[in-house]
Amino acid sequence: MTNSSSDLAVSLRGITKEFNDGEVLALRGIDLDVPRGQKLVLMGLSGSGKSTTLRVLNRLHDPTSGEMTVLGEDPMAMSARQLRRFRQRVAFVFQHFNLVGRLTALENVMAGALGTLRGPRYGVMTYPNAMRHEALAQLERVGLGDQAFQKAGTLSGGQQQRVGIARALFQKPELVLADEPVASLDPESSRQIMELLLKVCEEDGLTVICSLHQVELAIEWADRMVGLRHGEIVFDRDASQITIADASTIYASTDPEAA
Amino acid sequence: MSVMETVRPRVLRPPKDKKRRRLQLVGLAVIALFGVALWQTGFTPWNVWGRMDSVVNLIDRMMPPSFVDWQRYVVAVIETLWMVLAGTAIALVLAVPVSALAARNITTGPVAYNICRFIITLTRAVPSLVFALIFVRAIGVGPTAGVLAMGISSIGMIGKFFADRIEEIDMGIVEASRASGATRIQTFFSAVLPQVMTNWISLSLYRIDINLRSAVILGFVGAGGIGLELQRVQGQMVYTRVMAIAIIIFVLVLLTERLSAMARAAVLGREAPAKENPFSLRAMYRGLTARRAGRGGAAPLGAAQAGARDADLQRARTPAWRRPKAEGRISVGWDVFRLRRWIMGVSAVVLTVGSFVLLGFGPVQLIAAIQDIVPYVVSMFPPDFVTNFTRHLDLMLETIWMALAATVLGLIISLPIGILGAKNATFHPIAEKLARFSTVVVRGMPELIIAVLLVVAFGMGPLAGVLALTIGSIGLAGKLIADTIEDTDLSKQNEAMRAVGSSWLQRTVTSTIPTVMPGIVGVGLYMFDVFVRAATVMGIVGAGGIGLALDASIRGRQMDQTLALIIMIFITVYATERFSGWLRRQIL
Ligand SMILES: Nc1ncnc2c1ncn2[C@@H]1O[C@H](COP(=O)(O)OP(=O)(O)OP(=O)(O)O)[C@@H](O)[C@H]1O
Ligand SMILES: [Mg+2]
Repeated sequence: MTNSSSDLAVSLRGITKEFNDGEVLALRGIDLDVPRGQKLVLMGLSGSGKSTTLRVLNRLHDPTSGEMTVLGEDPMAMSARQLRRFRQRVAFVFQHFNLVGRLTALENVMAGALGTLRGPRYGVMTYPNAMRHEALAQLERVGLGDQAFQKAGTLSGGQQQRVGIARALFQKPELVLADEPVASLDPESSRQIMELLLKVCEEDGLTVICSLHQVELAIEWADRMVGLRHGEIVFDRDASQITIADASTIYASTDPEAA
Repeated sequence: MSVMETVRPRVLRPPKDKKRRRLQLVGLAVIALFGVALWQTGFTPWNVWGRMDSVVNLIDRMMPPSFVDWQRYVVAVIETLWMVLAGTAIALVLAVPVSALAARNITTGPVAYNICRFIITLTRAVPSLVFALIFVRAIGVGPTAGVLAMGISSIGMIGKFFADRIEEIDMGIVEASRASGATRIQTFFSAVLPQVMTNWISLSLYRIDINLRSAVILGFVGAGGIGLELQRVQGQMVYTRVMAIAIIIFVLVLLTERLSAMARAAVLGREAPAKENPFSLRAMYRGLTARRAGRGGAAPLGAAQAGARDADLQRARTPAWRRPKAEGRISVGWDVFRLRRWIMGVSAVVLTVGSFVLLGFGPVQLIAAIQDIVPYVVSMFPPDFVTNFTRHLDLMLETIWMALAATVLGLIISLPIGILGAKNATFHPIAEKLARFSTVVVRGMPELIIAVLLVVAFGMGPLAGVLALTIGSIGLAGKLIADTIEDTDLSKQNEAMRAVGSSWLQRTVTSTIPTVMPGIVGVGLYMFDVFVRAATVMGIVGAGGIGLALDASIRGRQMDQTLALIIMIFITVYATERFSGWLRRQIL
């Protein structure tokens, strides 16, 4: 890594995370620098700490020890108010979409801007008109313009994740964290959704950190691949130098669960 | 995209569809009716604020509570407890045949079925206080009237529950028993009863909890026990003693609730995990709404299958040492649970017999009481709807306005308490504890007792009644809403909400409330149901509504009007139940 620190979107030093009072060691000292604009894919077996790493980055989890700088700031030193503003700049795309099923797709997208709004909102009409138009534009961008007023819970899985992506984009983030965004989808929509996610992030020049199980998809879209095992980085390479066989080693042998 | 832009309306709003418009209409109607209800019941901010000094004054006169008469109170509390046991026992004895005949699968014929279903509907819809008023007049002040009132008015709920459980049993066993030539009675005891016993015992224990509350209230109209003491000191206007008795009632109700819950847990043993206790308030409420929704023909079958699956599960869950051994003696081995059940069973019988003995309530007294009651009831016929009809109609409307005002006010107060009291939606664990605590505290005070105190502060009239019901809603709706929210999985969507940097209030309004909205509406409708029932008797203590006329007609010995009023109450309560069921289907 030849970048100076100001060009880094993320910089982790010795990040550890324990659960249940040290019973589970999910992360055992992660060091990671991610330059701005990079599309990084996290790989690893189930339980290797991918979700935990992503959640630490926007402090959905607090790390147990270590230092981190995200978008030039230290999330650990923030007040509740500062954290809310910081989270506006970091969007999160979830494996299970995490939409409010009883709200319309449009409202779910606009909820992405709650951090910048003051006070609570109930119903489409309580958001500014300009915001409604903007949210519709984002939905059109992910191909869901016609479903804007459909309840999110009634959309198909692929459509729901499109709403999740539109919500993330609506935040106007600098960094997008995606935790297995296509793991609950069939192969065809997986490909479409990954394509969409990375295309829009490229258009907007965003940094993306995405955990992913599909090796081919990862090689196709990532700039860089990082492999985790038992909460440690065991693999870190440019995607251009990688073959499917290389990547598969992360999932292979030494780990008993992989057998 | 550019084409879209030109077509797009300047102000982007949701399309108008039928369902949306219907919901808006219902919402507007409720708001408008709520306004009318507030105005009709005199529940205006200035009215409430204007009386605040008399509330303060009353509290001042109630402090410090005076327990000088404590011996009397101890005796009265014990009498109340005996009344509850005796009343529940009578109800159980009467409910068994009624429920057996009201169960579609083992009834003897359509005539018996319909008669018994009607008895259940009738005793469910007419408040126990109405029975108590009549019995006190007929046989005099004292616990006998209370015991009989409780016995009769509990048939409805117990009978309905019993009958529903019988309808869910595995009929194979029953048919096998019939095929072997057993009589109906033999079949009932050998094939039906064993399948429903645990549930029945559990419900009986729950009913004891409910009957304690009603015993306190019945006492207030002269049916003995601690309620009678309350009426006495309240009549003498010695408010330090009123306070003392209120505290005693409070402790008594909460203790019984705890004890009944513990006893139920002991009966169910390991068979039901604590959270699925079928007699929690939440389960009762859910059962009510579910059964109402699925009153088709297919429902009992589905339930029966579910029951069978439960039984399989239970068998699988039973540890090996508890399963009967295949070889050796043919008897169920003794274990801790069986022993505990036996001890509980024997003590229940001893206590029940004891309660009749101590209350001096035997067959002779029962016959004497019936001899007094029958001519009294006969004198009620034919009902006189004509005299005072407009006044009665006005009071009935007032009753409904009271229930409506209290329901909406109650929801407004209970919603935040329910949200704060739900582990998965609260602001802070301490807020959760406080909210839960407040619901428990309010449940310790029967609404009618609150009304008695409020009448002193606010004067006679519906205002006191509405206020009492509103306060009572915290215990009912606050708990139900909190439980409903805890049963909903909000973790995922609220995680996303946190990740976009929303505040707790924003999460609550944008994610939590819309998600549990159907539940909240359901609680509201259920509350309206309960409050109409409760509001019909508020007038008996002067807190507004039809109860006022009922009380007056009994005092004035115009029994034909009393019967007319009871019929009006029955129709109103029954119609409300139907109406709220219909509205639920329209909205949800
Ligand atoms: N909230 C939690 N409480 C306790 N332990 C947790 C919690 N979250 C994660 N863990 C543990 O931390 C470890 C890492 O989990 P993590 O979810 O980060 O794995 P992952 O790589 O995302 O796996 P997957 O591919 O299954 O999503 C696991 O052992 C997991 O059991
Ligand atoms: Mg994960």
